[in-house]
Amino acid sequence: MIAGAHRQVPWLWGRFFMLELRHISQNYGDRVLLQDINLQVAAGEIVALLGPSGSGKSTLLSIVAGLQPPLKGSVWFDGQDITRVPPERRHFALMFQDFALFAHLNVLDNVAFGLVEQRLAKSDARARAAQMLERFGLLDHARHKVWTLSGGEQQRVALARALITNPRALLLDEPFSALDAELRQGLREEFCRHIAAAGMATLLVTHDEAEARAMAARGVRLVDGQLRAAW
Amino acid sequence: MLPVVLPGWLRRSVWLGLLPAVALLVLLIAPLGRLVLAGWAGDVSLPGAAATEAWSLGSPWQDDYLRWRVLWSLAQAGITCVLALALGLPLAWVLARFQFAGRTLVLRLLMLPFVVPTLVAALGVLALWGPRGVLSGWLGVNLHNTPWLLLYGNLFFNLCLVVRAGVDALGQVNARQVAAARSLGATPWRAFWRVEWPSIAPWLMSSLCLVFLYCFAGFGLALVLGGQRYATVEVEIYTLVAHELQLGQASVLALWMLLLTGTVALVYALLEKRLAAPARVEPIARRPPHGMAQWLALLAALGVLFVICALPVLAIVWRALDAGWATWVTVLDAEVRGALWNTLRFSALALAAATLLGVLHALAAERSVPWRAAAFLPFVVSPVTVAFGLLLLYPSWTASLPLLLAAYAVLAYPFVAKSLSAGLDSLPPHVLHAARTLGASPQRTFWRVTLPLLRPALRRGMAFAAATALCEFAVTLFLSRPEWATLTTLIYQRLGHPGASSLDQAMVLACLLMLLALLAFLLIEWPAADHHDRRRSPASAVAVGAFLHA
Repeated sequence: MIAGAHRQVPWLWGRFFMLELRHISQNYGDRVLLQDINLQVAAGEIVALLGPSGSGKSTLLSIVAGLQPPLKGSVWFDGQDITRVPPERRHFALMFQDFALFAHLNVLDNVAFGLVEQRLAKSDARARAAQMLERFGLLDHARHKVWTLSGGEQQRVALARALITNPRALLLDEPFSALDAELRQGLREEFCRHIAAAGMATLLVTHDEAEARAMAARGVRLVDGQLRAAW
Repeated sequence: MLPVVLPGWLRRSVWLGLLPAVALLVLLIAPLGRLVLAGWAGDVSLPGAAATEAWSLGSPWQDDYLRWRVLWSLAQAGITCVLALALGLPLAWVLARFQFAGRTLVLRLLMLPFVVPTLVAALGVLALWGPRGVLSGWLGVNLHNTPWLLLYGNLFFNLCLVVRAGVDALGQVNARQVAAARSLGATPWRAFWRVEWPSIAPWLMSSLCLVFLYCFAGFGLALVLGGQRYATVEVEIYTLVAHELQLGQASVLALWMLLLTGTVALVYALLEKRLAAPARVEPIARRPPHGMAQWLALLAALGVLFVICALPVLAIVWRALDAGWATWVTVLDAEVRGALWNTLRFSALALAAATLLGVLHALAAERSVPWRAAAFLPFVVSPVTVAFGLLLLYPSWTASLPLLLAAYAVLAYPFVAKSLSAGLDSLPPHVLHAARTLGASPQRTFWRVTLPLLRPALRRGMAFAAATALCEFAVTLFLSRPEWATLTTLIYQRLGHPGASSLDQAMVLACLLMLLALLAFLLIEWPAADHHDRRRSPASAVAVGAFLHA
């Protein structure tokens, strides 16, 4: 099968573990942060990774994204070992609680950023970014600087930016923790809709169990560096 | 934190810091070492100069005249600190707590004295309070040959620094803490002293350290405004070297200056170390002035700022316009055109060199604390000391253009390095991670994200470096040739000529120099609408003070 083809075929979702972590270990100084972590995330599946602050959730996400190498173990995607693949060639999207939008670019160019990196002509990238913004109801803000938007709008821009390149996996690092409760609820549903439509493997890192249960069919908890099934 | 601020090839390069290291070693550390040796021996001579009497390290304290110079230098710096705090704290409070039309403009204008050349400031004070001064004639007071002229000039520069630090620090006071104190029974006055003051005091003390350093090691103001009696040690060193050829005595004084400024700089560094990065707090909301007392307080604050910080600049413009068309025409002669050309080309060359050195230093210092500290070195040492050290170490090179420009560059490049280092520190790592996961390679991330985000910091550093080069005076006096006269040295020459027309010409030249400095100011403050300038910390005002000090 051609790698990634099953994303186009909904009935195949769940049959493949697109993203796999095998025996991942990591230390922070002398402290063991992650110990023999094994995890699989299927296509179209959202897996919630729970744990208290400092338990290593974000470190695990960084390892998956390729921003830091694991001490031991490997990361696999679509049956290929991608442990040594740099982050820009993994085609994953990573979202942060502080949105990580580029302050020197306007909303449109933020969303178009990844397409330009795929060597798309700037005008074409902007046209597609405008279409994406329209889907998210943000087209009126296209020329605005990102810091003039509200927290919810910024997070929607971040999601639009993440999804526009059709990433193979979506990594969410406490995506709603900077937002108020009412906004969270609305965005949570909107995110689930967009993620389901895109049909990608999604790893959600959060310390909010209610949020995790609302978004993810499966939950795992990181305790003392080891993963345990939560539901 | 993941080290992705710079691409790997840049981080791995150990050669980045080589050029700044050589520049610091050859143009600062070696000359200072030579000066220390000369000061320790108390005896020094240059080729072609007659041997002079040997001086011991304790000589300045045994000689009445020199002791007065050192004690007065310390005293005027201390008095300026007290005055700047006494006036600056209420002014800062008013500007931080009241919302009024033009507040942002006032805060921006507080930066203006930072780029006004010291010589221009001295002329401004003279235009106000000197012989034939606008205010001295009007009020019938004569401040000539009194310490007030120098203290006024010191306040012109330093009041803005303290006010700026105070406004920024008061913006960091947590509104919830003040509300808690009020609900526990504290009056507004008690809440200020028990909650607000403890949190702003470290920032103010830090800025006062810089004020002290600046006043103690100041040269231009003291040279013009101090007169015979109230000149400082720096002026005395210049006089001993340039006019009396007493190099032994000058080197002993320079060594004492180095020791004293080094001690104050150490106190400053210790204070800075104690200042934690400001936490995210809910600031106290600004309110429009309410009632007669608050309006009077606001008007009084603006009035004090106007008299101390704006009036000297306006007085120069007034005097220059009053000089008449004939004076404007005569100053545009070949000599002035030459000085203007020298000022511009020296500044441009020095800026290019300073930018190169500064960028390399900041990149090398990204993960090295000693490198970061090294960038402070040219701030701590006064230009007179540097110039004197260069004169002693490279006597045959003293009238060479490369040495003059290199000295300019070494004095100016820490502005670029410090600003860029702060910019690198404030780069949000998540943004760079986001760029990488969106498909940008380390090199592409550097060009598309890191550099654009650093551009405001680079621009700011370069603007301060340009202002430093434009306004340079002490090094030029020591190391320049007559045909390399710049606008600052020409103004000083004109001041030395007798007659009202020379003073008028100096005022017109000062206007010209101020226009150039204003350009640098616009570069620094105008694009303040960008995202990062909105989040100034109290440290930024203090950093500005460090710029001013140099």
